[in-house]
Amino acid sequence: MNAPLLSLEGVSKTFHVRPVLGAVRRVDALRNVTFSIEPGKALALVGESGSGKSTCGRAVIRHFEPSAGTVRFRGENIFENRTRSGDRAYLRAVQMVFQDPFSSLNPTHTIRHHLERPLRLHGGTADLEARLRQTLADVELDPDTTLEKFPHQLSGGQRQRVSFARALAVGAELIVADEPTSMLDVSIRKSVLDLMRRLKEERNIAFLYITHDIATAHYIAEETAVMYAGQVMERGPSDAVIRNPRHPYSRLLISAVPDPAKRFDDADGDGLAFTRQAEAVRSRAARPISGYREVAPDHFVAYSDADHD
Amino acid sequence: METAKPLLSVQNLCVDYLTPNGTFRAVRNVSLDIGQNEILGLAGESGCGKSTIAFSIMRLHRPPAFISDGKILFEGEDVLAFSRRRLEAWRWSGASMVFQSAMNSLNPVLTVFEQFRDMLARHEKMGRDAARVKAGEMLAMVGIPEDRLDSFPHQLSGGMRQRVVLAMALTLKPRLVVMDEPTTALDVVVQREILQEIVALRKTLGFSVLFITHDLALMAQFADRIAIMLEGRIVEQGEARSLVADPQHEYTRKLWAAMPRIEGAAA
Repeated sequence: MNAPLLSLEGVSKTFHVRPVLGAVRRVDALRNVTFSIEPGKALALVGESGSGKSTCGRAVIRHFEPSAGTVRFRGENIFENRTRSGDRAYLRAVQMVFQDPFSSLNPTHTIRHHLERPLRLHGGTADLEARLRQTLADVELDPDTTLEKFPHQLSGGQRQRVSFARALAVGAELIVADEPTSMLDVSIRKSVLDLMRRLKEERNIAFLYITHDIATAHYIAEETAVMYAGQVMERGPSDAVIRNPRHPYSRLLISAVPDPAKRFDDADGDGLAFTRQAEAVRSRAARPISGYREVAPDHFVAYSDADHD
Repeated sequence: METAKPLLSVQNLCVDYLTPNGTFRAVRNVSLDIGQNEILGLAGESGCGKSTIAFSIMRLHRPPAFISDGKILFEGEDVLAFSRRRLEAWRWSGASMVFQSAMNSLNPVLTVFEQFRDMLARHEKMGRDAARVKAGEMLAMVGIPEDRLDSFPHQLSGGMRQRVVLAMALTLKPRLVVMDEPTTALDVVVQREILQEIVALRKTLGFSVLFITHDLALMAQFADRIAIMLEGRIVEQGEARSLVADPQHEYTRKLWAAMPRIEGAAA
């Protein structure tokens, strides 16, 4: 096993929400999250909305400091011994691609502007034009037609490619991709996933792929971690986790993935049967995790001491 | 599944949008029938005109969109010829609609009960107490406890809000419910919960559904028949099972191929 590029060890994050009226509310957004990513590999964080998967991504791009635990990048704790040059190197190496390609590009600037700035900042002005064109070619966009366009003149898929180009421009080693395809049409979704795959294989870029679409996780990520209520329920090789989920919550989540072979009207019960089952699994999964069992090599499943009640 | 007389029959519908560069035809000569108790799925990419059809059926289309040709027959009557009063009475009780974003279809400053009461008072001249009983029953049917009647929309989760909208859409026992991407904003578990509930409710209440989505796999699980749209036209229409097993049109095959699938996943 290679040394991990990124590793999270027991990361927790508690937010204190202060409503205008009423008492301060404590929200445990992350509880004891542990996982690691090797260079050139992808880890998919899957879960429903509110499960803490985006919070995880934001901790990695240093949006906030965790309440407990450590985040290491190439073995160094990213929140300790910070220097200006160290910060700069980290911000260069770790890039983010957001869900909404409409709001993540500045509508008043051309694509040239979006890519020129990071290229200049992190690589100087030598061969700027050539590097600019190469960056666009790397994400399968035509430099001749794309460079002078504004974001609104591009389709959603093209815009998302520009977002990836922006990350490539500075020489990213890890891209945190938060639902990068969920706002795209089905027919172009796969081509963006293929681009991510290619960047991974050809450029050795690692991905933290945050998604609720389990089929796409299986498509690009070597490893998958299932999150619920801020905790990792199960993690391991994607194939094992998705085809043979061991935790009841993972089973529930994966059973809900649309499968054209399973008709809804074949199900028994009164229609609320699935809802009741889902509620039961969720309330068990929300309890604090006591530890993980390794059910197969590198395949970890959470257990709770309360399970033996 | 198809009965002799369809509940809804859309015939040669054309919808145009007025743009500065002339008219743009968003829906081109579309004909489709929805039978009694049938779920018809309408699939296609964004911009293909599927939502425009849904809005046209409910006559919720607004300028610059206008219907330039065609008929929409509901139980043999032309919806496009309805007077304003007739149209108002028909919405909710003849046909109702569930939109993609429940947050936007509920009034944020009214409680759930007030939204039910609005509809029940207007359509059924129902008093406050009777409306409360009815609204409570409808919420229970979609698995929401009755005490949520006094909640505001922002106090409910996305799944609960969509359930409230669904309960409202079914309250006056419409024959047709138009659902425009009803679960796209929800995650898969909640999506499955809600659709499973709709299937069961259809068995007990009996209503037809026009179900619009871009998720073909989901549609194959839920719909009886599927129509595939491309650039304002229906390119293929047929039984859900045969459209899954043996798609005829090249575009349908392309849509299927565009989705990453987990082969042989455990259930």
